[in-house]
Amino acid sequence: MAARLAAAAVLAASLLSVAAAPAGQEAGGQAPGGQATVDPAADAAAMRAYFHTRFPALSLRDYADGPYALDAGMRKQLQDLMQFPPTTFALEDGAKRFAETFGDGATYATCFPGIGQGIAQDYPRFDAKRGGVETLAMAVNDCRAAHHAAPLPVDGEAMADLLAQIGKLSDGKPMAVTVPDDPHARAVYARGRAVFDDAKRGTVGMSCADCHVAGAGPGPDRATRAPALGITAGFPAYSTGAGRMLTAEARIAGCDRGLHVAPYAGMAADHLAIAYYLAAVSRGVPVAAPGVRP
Amino acid sequence: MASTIRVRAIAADGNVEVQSLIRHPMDSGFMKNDKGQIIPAHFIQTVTFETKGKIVFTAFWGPAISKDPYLKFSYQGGAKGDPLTISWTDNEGMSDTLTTKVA
Ligand code: HEC
Repeated sequence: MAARLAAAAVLAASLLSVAAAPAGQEAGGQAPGGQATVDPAADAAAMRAYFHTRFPALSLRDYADGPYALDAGMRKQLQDLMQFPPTTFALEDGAKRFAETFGDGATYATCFPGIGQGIAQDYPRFDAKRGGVETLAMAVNDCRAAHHAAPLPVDGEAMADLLAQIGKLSDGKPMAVTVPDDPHARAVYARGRAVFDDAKRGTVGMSCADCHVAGAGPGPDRATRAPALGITAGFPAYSTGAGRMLTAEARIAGCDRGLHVAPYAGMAADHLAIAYYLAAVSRGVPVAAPGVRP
Repeated sequence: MASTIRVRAIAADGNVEVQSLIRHPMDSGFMKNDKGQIIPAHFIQTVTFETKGKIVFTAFWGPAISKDPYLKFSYQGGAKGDPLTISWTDNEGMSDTLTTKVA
């Protein structure tokens, strides 16, 4: 008993020391065990500087529009679409669902800080309890579980509607995903970055960065590739091609299929890690969800 | 039940520009549900826009149109305040109608 109390005191002290670290400090420098250096704040600054040099005319907000940011013709299409956005019904339903009362009288608003106004910019985040990345969809299902409601399918319409609404309630908030000073969180971030930069991904043997960093803009196939900066700020997004809303993870999985990556154990975790990495390096880009995409 | 129709009609320079969105599954009849069963075809067949007793736009749709279809067109000779009635019917005999005012 005494030993457990002592252990708890040590744990509390270590938590306190983390909490007492200077504000704004983030995981940085050499991780224990000789892991790769992880410095998300520096990566984010470098990413922003890179795109600022390449596309000086773009504002941070423009990046949230993904491929539309780089193509005047597509941008005009988007402006037309947004006069009567195809997300209209999803937002109407999402607002209703978000206001729903669970069996115990609670609502989604009770689960989230600030009654759920302005939370999307903090996701996906590292959740120590879960021991991994927590997406907004997972947080929504956790909220449901806490109030004895069955989980919603993560790729289903009800979830998409809710994510759209939560995104809307965070409209314009600068993305604020940071990597806590936790070896596991740093490892997930480093994994996301490594997979994104993996020069030999899939049988196509390209990296995500080949298209979304160096190759951002019109590609040889004439498809415009969104810049990596802010690439998830407009998600979930309604895909006019798919005729439904896609989460960032689903969109990432789509590009991975395009690279002909054979499914492997841990693939879904890698997609989450990429989403986490992309959100962390896109800090400052305003949330503009739900977006609309080709 | 809430209307399935959202519409905006704006008059400018003797033209009325209309945009509408209709909530409809537009099932093609080729998709399967979670249990592997075919989802029967269910789609809008006709949409009409009518103002002051005159049809200004008709669309005949088939199963290849996407879910919650969007339409944009303009017609001449309309003015602010005109009534505009939108109606659709589908292959299962369901329908909806809504009247709005040109803004
Ligand atoms: C061969 C080029 C190519 C590669 C490699 C590639 N993508 Fe894409 N990606 C595209 C194109 C084209 C689109 C559609 C247009 C757009 O949105 O950029 C796209 C779209 C996306 C989007 C949605 C952007 C938006 O705003 O709609 C994300 C996110 C994304 N890709 C992530 C990835 C990730 C992660 C990888 C690596 C697993 C990857 N992509 C690899 C070409 C590529």
